Amino acid sequence: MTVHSASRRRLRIVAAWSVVALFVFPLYYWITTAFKNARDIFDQPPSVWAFDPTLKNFEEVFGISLGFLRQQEVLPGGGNFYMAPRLWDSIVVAFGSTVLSVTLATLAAYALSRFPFRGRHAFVAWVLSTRMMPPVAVAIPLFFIYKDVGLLDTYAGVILIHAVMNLPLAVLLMKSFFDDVPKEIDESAIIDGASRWLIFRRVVLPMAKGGIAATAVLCFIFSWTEFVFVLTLTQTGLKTVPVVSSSFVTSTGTAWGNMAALGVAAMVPAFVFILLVQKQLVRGLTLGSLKQ
Amino acid sequence: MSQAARSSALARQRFRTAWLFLAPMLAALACVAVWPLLRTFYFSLTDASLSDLGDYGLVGFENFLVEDGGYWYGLLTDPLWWTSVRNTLVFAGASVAIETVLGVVMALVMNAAFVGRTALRAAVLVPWAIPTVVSAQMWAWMMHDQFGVLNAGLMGLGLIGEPIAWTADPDLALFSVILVDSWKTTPFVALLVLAALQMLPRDCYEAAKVDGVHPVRVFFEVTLPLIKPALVVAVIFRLLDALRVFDVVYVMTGNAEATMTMSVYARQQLVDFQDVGYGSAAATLLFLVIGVMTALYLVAVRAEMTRDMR
Repeated sequence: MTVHSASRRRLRIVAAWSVVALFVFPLYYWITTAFKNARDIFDQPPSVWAFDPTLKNFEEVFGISLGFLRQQEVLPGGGNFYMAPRLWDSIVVAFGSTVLSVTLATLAAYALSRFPFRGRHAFVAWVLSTRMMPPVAVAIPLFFIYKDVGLLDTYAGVILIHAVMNLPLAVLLMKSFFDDVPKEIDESAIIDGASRWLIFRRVVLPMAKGGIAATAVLCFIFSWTEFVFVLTLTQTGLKTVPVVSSSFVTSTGTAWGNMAALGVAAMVPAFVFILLVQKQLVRGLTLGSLKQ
Repeated sequence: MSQAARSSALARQRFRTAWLFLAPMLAALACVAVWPLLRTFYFSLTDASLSDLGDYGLVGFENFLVEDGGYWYGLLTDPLWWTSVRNTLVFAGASVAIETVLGVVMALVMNAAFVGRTALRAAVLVPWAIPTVVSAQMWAWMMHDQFGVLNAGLMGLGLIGEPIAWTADPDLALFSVILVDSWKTTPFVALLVLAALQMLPRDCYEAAKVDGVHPVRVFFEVTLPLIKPALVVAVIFRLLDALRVFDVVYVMTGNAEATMTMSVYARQQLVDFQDVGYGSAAATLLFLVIGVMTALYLVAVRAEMTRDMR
């Protein structure tokens, strides 16, 4: 009996990790492609395990010499894409929109969680309706509006639309986290004479810290990965990584190695955040979706 | 002051405070979501063009359907539009079905694995968290007809005789895009289902185990009904995303007819052909199609749920 269940358990673990391997292999292959030179990239049949690692792709894409790792000069001009500023654009946009989105969502979610006013239940319908909004249908009219008010090709413009894009989910999540904070705490503070604003800032907000972190991570990732709005609303002033990445396919061929190098850079936030806040992330994701 | 007057004054004040908290969000939403969307609806009734946006006239529903000299014109008579509708529905149906089934399987496997569950969860989250553009390019490289590792692998196993042009072959392109989307979003479904699984009462299983019920029957008769609410939510969210799909299609196959979805069609009309009126009409219809699909799904779910109650 025990032998039987032990072998079944081992089988389950093997099954679990095979599923993971299936999902992780493409990532492994793309990451190693970023470290391959042109000869290994076009190797026939493709070299999965054996290749000469190189930092050339990264040096070309970011226009920086990684000479402190290896003695080599980066050739100026030809083949260099100088993407370091674009990485910075991505960080500014994702960070800015996350701050804005979380701020607006926290305020709104507190009201939705604490004040029983009419129309509160239309809220779920509203969340669904904004999820129906095709980004393409909003991006073009927004282009004209931004052109009129001078927000085209600016950080502020992209930050604003990314923040709004994330609002429904952020509000939903924050509301579920505020619902977890007992109402009695608010009520006893009101009896003590504290204002709503003071309670919100000093009592409820600190108690929902974990929830705010989870919401912020989700907003950051969604902004970091967004494509259509940046593609439409920017020209030369700024570009985020997904948009730059999509421009690597040129008439003279595709720079697969460089594309992979930029792709690896674009994966970094995903790895960092999943490692740092995985627990809250999963809780946030599931709570936000299940608790309605 | 009477009791009633005081309580109504209190209610008014609470109402005002609630709106103060809500106002910043509503203002942002009105400016960059509602206003552009209304403009799209309005432009769909005009002959506006991207080159000279100041100069346009109202044309009623001519962008959608118009009769001229015995012939019908407009979006509803464009075969490419109907191709894009079909592609979108096939994409949404197939990808959501695959993701739901695989997601449940994955969640069951993860739930059963006691060692390294946290690491497992982290690993499968990665595909979901990287930019769609990046994963689409990654797969485009793996599916490359000459140098792709997918062809090499399948040929090595003897499953295919010669290299397949996954994204260029019109018969396979849509399937390839669905495959990539499934890779990216199955983990999302799996996580939602896993959370539901972990909340299930243990005693149901103990009872089934004691009675010697086959695990497959336990799944269909105990587990599935219990995780149904979570599945419904996951499917709604995935369906809404799938019907608007743009990134993965645009990056992998561009404007190719075989994979053109409604979003890609609308963008091509709006940007490439500069036809704001016509493109807005397409975007408006897209919005309506998604709305109708969601409503139908919700009605079906509600009917199912009430039937279960009885």
